[in-house]
Amino acid sequence: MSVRFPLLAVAAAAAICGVLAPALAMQERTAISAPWAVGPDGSLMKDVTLIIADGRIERVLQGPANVNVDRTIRFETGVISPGLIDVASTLGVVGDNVERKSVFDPDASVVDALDALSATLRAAGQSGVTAAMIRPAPSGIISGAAATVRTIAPQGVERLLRADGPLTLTLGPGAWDVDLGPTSRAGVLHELREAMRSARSGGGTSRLARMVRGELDVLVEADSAEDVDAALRLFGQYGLSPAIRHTSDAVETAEDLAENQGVVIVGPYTFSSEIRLLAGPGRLAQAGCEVAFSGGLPFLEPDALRLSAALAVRYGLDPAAARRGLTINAARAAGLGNRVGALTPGADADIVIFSGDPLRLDSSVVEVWIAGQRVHHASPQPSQEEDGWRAW
Amino acid sequence: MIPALHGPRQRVARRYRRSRAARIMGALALSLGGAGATLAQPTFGPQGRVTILENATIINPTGVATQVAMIVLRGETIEHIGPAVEIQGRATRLDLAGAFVTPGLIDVYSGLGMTATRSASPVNRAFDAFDRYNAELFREAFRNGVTMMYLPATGSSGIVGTGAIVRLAPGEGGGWAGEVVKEDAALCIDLGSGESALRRLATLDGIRKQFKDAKAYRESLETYEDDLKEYEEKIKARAEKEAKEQSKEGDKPAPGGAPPTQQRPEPPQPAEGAKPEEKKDEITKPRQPGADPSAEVLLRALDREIIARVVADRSSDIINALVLAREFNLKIIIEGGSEAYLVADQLDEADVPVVLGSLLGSGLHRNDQYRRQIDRCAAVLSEAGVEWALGSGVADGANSRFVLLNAQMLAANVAGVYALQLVTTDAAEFLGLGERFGRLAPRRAADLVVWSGHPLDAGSRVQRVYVDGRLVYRDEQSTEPSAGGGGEEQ
Repeated sequence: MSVRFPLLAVAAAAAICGVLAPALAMQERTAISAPWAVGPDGSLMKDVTLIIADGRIERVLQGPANVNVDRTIRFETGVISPGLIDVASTLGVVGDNVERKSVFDPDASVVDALDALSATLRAAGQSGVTAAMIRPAPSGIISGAAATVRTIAPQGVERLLRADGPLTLTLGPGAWDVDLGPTSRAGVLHELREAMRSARSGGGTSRLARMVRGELDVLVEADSAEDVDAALRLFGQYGLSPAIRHTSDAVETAEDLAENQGVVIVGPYTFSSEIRLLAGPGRLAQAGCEVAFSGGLPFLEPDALRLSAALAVRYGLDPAAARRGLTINAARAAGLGNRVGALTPGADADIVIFSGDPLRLDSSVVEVWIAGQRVHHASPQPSQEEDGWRAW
Repeated sequence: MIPALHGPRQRVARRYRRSRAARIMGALALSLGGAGATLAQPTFGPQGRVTILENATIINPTGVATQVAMIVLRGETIEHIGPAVEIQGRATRLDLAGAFVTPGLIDVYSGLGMTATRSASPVNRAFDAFDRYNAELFREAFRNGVTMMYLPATGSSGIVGTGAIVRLAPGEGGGWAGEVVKEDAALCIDLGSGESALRRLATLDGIRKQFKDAKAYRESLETYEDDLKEYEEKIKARAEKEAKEQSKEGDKPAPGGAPPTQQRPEPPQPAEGAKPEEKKDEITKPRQPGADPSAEVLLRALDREIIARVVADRSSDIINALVLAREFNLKIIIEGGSEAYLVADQLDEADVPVVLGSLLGSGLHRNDQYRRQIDRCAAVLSEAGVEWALGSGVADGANSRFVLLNAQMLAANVAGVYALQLVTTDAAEFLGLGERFGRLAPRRAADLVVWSGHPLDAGSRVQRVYVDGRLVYRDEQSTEPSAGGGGEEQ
């Protein structure tokens, strides 16, 4: 998993042979330029050159760039985008991703159920979704820590971006359980309130205690407007601003959610989604919320993540806000806003070159780079070996 | 086919056509309350209303955008497209600089506004299940640029009914009606790919039997016609013979001047040489077979007058459909066709096109499900030379509004496909309506969409929709181009 060992091995080999091994390519300084790129604010920037070194973005230049690099890759058409992130996926998860013995599982970690070799992960990566936050299923009141993984991790690059969070909670019908109880909205709130109170008075280093002290980020599944209201009141008492996943009543709850300051996770939206749902992201953004999209992977195909954003735009969301929702806002919801999701100096060079605006659904993936390494490029006639029918 | 058989068969078929046409006209008049007919008539004088769209950008089928000075709509058709020309009289002028104009989008495989039915019968008609007074439904379609669709009859598996092509034209007085552009556009057959293997075999058997019964029905009709003809000839022959005998008997006495015998002109005696079977008692009128409307629909498919659209997703079902088509000499299209890529060569050999549906939901599959790979399927079919078209599918009628987004998702993964062409020109031609729809050209129907930007860009909005030359949708949120010239908007 560690990036250090292969580097050391390569350095040793180079020292012995006196020759630069091809595997050292990631240490080269590379310039990638294209006529367009997705800026940190989600708008499209013109004529952008990225300087990539050591798997990270070193500099972002606009306009004609003349820099001293080892190699230059120029795309005559297309858009450089940060790798897209699906924030509520179950990609690569083996079996049931929630423990059904208990409704309180703060110490469970979904990463333990990850099959890193799952073909669905790679297929998502080839569609431009370079990272996925894998969350426990929304059942049980506290169902453990989510994890964020790279969908494609070349040799020497860590697959796991984050294993310990955010902590996922569920309000509403998803948390009701006839066998384990509670069985009502009020019951869930009562038990959660009690648990948080005792965690605060008890102190310690349990995840719940760290959560109430504000040391651990939180993602709350709140299905209906009532659940959103309850979550905001409960977490507000502790001065916490959790990321909230809420799609159903976003048009009604937009103002309240805006006060919370946390990212609102919406979607997935499909061709059959009701108008009222599709109008949600636009209304949220209007109220001042930052939204992030979940694409429903792998139950829907990887391109469905971009579809969710495109549908939100058609029903009123600003295109730049939608691009943020596919990239930086998603990274923020996963607690990785400083590392992935934006073309900014210091961020991991996990990037995708699309043939056009990622929001435009007929734009296709031209190349995918992970930590400064090219891991996928589209061939005019996609060969069966390469992607195995996209291997679903 | 043996020429001798060809004659009567054609005659029989023609008769069906007449009766069928008469029934359609009657049914249309009843069900539409004359709305379809009224729409076809120009509302504003003999020349019709004139709308002039100026400086709009249009896109040719391969994606090249050009600005045109004028698009002139007169009555229900596009009169002119190109450089500015002199237009006499009253006209509504709109400056569309910066906006794009495309033909109304067409969904070749749609479930828009369809109420689910469970029954399956060849006499079921798709339009009867279409919710044509749902204004919200129409508005949603227009908001996304969709103006016309093919609606298959749906139901349980088997022969489920006939599909219709419907245009979202407004009815009288602002009510919504939908205009049937083509009734009986296809015979809809569903091989029930989602059902168990035994169920699917039973379905196929049932379909085969229905076609056989239809053929038997035709044979009984033909036999009846032949028998009737024979009967008429016999009656005629006897009448002639009687007349001849009568005149013979009548002539005889005349030269001799002798009075007629006491014998009345009774039927000729057998002794006089008549064959026994020509006895009056043995000439019986043949019994006419009872009308069978189901069989009549199937016979039109058997005569290749209407195409059969066969819903088949599994490769085995697609093969079964091809066998069925060969056995009964049917003209077929495969609908759904999720696994068509596995049998592309067979489809090419049989020259059978495929209609594909929604790309969504092809993600996860279990071992007992067929694999949906719509975009890859299209690529393989193209390579094999199989004609294909893309609609939205019937799983959910709401999908139909997003047929262009569906096409864009496909275009992203299939080289050489232009999404806009798929759902305009290609779609119209696939439905056999290329002469009237799917293109911005003179004499084509004035069904068009005004977009705030490039129609394939996520941020573009539909600003206006014209159907049949009439403004049917206007986006309140987008800034309106200024209307000038001689006329007020409706």
